[in-house]
Amino acid sequence: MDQNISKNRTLWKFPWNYKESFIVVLDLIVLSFILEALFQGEGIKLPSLPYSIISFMILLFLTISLFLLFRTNKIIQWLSSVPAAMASITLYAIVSLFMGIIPQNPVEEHILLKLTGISHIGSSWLILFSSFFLLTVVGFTICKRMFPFKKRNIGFLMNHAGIWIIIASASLGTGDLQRLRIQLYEGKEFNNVAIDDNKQMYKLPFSLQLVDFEIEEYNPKLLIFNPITNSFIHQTGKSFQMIDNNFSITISNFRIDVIEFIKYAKPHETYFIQSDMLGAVPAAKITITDLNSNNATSGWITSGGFGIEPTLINLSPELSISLAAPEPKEYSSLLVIKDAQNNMDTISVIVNKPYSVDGYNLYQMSYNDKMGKWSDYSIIEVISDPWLPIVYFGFLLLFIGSIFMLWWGRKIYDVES
Amino acid sequence: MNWINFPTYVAATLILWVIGIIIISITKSPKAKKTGLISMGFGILILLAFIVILWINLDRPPMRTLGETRLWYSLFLSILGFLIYIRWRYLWFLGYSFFMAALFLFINVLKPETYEKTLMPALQSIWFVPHVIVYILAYALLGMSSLVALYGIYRSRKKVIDKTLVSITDNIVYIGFAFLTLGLIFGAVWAKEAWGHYWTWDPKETWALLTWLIYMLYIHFRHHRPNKIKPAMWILAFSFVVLLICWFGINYLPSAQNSVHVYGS
Ligand code: HEM
Repeated sequence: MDQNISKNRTLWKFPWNYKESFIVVLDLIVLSFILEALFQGEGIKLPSLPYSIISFMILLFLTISLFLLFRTNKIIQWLSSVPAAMASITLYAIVSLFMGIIPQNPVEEHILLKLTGISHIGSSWLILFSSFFLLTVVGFTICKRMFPFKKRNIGFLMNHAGIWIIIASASLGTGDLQRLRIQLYEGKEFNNVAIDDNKQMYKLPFSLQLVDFEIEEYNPKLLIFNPITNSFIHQTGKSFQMIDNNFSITISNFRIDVIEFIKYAKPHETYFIQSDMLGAVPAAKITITDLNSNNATSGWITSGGFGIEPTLINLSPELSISLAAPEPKEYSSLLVIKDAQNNMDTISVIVNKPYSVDGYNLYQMSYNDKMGKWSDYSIIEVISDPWLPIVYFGFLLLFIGSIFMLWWGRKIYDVES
Repeated sequence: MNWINFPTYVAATLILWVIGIIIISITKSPKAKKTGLISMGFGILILLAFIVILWINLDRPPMRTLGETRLWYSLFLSILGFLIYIRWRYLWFLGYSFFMAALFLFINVLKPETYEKTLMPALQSIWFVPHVIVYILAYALLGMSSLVALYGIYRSRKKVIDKTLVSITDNIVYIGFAFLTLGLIFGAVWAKEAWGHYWTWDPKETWALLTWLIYMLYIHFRHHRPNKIKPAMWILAFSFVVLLICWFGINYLPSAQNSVHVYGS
């Protein structure tokens, strides 16, 4: 009994320590659940421009000015202490854990998940409180080491300012992030209507026309296998090579020469000819020379595709050769883009190489995968994220901060303690 | 294709590395250790020369097949191991990074059919190699630190807390954490290029963030309460569990069913 009383008396007495910090976190969780339930699990609406940038400025201004005005205030001192930092990082980790185990924005969800916001963390009161708490703590911590400025704090400042900028700008930028999709059919008219995940339509400031969707493929590889055991045969460094017109290889006592290679072919009578038809396959005419007897035979091999059977040649009962299905090298859409003044330009949008225009980035997103290379449409993702430069600036600071950590390790920080 | 001479280059590189490691681990004199480092440096240069020759021969950066990316792993792992050794003198780290580098080279020699395997388009990015490298290093270091922590917990039951052990652990965590941070940044920039946004709360990203946050807790706790060693060691042991989940476990979680990290499947 006595012990309890003395514990209660020291609790909430400044300076606040771990206990107080974690109780604050618990309160924040409960408060966010209550608010979420009051609004029936609708979550929060994120501000968009110009309100988002105004919020960013206000946050920055309040952090610095409150610190400079009240730096001796006990609450502010607590908010720039390690216990508060540990509590806020833990809260952020808990929220991430929810994201990590509970499927987000499912079609059907348990009512409890909805009313607490756990199934839509990205727009929940919980993420609002946890980000805000984290930003407050990091913010005041930076101020503490910034005023007055000391050279040896540079690594510390880079890390903490980097994290502050990234979290503040990525969170406030969410409301301005547009991720739209535009589906374009080959040979159809210009289109400028894109949709978002909720099928809501948006007019873009430019319009697009699909000239051609392309999958560039590697040349196929020569497959050498044992048809009885159904296993592949690898000759060290020699098998599974991509073939081309002058390809030649020796396997046990056979020499194989490619006489003619057609990247896109279709069967014609007893041989293959070049073709642009839907479903054309790679085919090669090869000669096989038995090096013991010098007998030569030749024939066609192909990987096959839809509508065309694969063909192979048997060298012996345990040795067959054929072609593997070609592997994709690049997906791309050839587009014509037209701006508001009717200026046209031909562009190509390739996986991993987005195209930038007017603050939008165009990404190759998807295609008709039943038809593969001959897909009749291409889906382009259109993304605009005005906050990106700020986020990247945060990445840069964090990057430099990490290099500091790598090089100086724990030593540089031992000065204070 | 110049891959044909590859085994010769690998042999030269490996011999130089092994000689270097042996010299460094058996001698005490700084001069002799320097010779060892020079030998290892030459091994790295030969590997670099091979990559340059291959690049010239192929007429494109050698980054389109798995085997080609493995060459870069070996190169960067050995360079980083080399630099970290020069800075921190952790022999085990030198051994580890060069062992991994040698392993990747070995795979290319022993399993030539896999170096022909082409890389899917979404992975053909200059961010791929740096991203993977720093993660390999981060996981190795952090995993190591957690093992040291478990050992420390075990030892502390007999009431001995080894101060040098703890300070080595701190340093390993700092370096590992820095690599983890770099991994997150590279991953984010790459995701922006390939998938349109730098952060999508994909389960894989989420668990990487969690791992990062827990090691962050350790760093701050150590800074604040340098004398409370046992709780710090427990944080570290626990972080290892999260790290393992991040590495292997996420495929079994319900939230992993809609991972975006697949293209055109
Ligand atoms: C990239 C992430 C981070 C890194 C690398 C990092 C690193 C560090 C390091 C090395 C120290 C010791 C400083 C010294 O001895 O000079 C420190 C202190 C501190 N950090 Fe962090 N930190 C990070 C994120 C955070 C976050 C998210 C918070 C708050 C929520 C935070 C709050 C603090 C506080 C309050 C201190 C103590 C400062 C003092 O007492 O002067 N840090 N941090």
